[in-house]
Amino acid sequence: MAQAYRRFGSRVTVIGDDPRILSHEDPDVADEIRRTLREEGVDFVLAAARTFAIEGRSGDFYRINAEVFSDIFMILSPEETEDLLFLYLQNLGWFVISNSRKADSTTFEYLIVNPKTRERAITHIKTGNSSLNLNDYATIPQKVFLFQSNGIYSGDASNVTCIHRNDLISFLKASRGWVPGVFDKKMEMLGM
Amino acid sequence: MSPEQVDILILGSGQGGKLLAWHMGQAGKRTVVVERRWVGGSCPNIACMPSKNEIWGARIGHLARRAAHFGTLTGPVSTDMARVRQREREMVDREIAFHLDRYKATGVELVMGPGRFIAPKTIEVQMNDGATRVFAGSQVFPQPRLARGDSGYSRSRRCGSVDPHRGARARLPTVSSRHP
Repeated sequence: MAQAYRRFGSRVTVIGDDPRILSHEDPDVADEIRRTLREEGVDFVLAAARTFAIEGRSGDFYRINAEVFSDIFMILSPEETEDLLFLYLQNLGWFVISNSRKADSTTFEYLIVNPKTRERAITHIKTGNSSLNLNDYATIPQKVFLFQSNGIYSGDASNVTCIHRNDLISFLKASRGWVPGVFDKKMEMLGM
Repeated sequence: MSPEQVDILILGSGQGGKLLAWHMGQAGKRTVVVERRWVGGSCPNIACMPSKNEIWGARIGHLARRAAHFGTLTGPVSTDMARVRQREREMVDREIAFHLDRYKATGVELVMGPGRFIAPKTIEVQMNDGATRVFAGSQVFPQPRLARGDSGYSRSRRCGSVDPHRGARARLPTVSSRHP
């Protein structure tokens, strides 16, 4: 229907949770269909993070109140998100102690040190629907860097720095070409 | 209210319900179909067929705009959505007439209104005209799903067609060979 209404002259935007349209089709087929629709002027917001209110019923009317945006963090794996933060922090002058990196940790992902200020810090990353509470880190003696990909933080603690999603997105966009290829590929998928 | 006794009682006049009803009616069973709103179900009214009707209309517009590419020269091309909708509505009206005709021909009674179970094998219908009727069936089929036009067909074959019209056509119900 997107193509049909575009051909009738409407501006059409297709919104989807998945990073691909037609997710149960083969990726090459789906990508080709999306490319064709793009050429016809259909817009896509895929891997959509959103606030939705849908009213109505099929056959009567629909009203969709939505704030939607494509969210790269919806399609980065937890490991890729860790890597991204890893690169981001090193770019800020924090060195990662790679030996401290654990596959699965409840308290921190890795230790980092800042040779200039001689500070140590830990980082903790969450990528699911949960939120991070700063109070949980208040008693830790070092500095703490937190990142929650949905941007939801609560509580307060003076030793904790929350990293904003937009900072990582800006970093990612500015680092196109030298970050691992998977980031380029996924940015490309979302048309970033 | 004592229920009206029937042989076959079907809730929902969609793809499964109507075909079952017509077969049973033809076989001489006293058959009642309870339908909330859409004669023939969502497919011919608001889903499969109206959408394909509009998609076909859009394709004509697309071809008209690209006609020069094929050597046919047209004037300026524009869209009249009122006409698009009218064509679609006319198709739906024809579908409804076709369905009502089949109900008549097979002797099946179509009862319009939302139905709900009030006892085993017993459905009460709040008729859309305000009255209430209660039916008890020897056999009762709540929304039988013998054939569904909108599920189970989505995986493409490897060499699958990327023509959305052909893709859609394959999913049309088999009840009628008439094109939307």
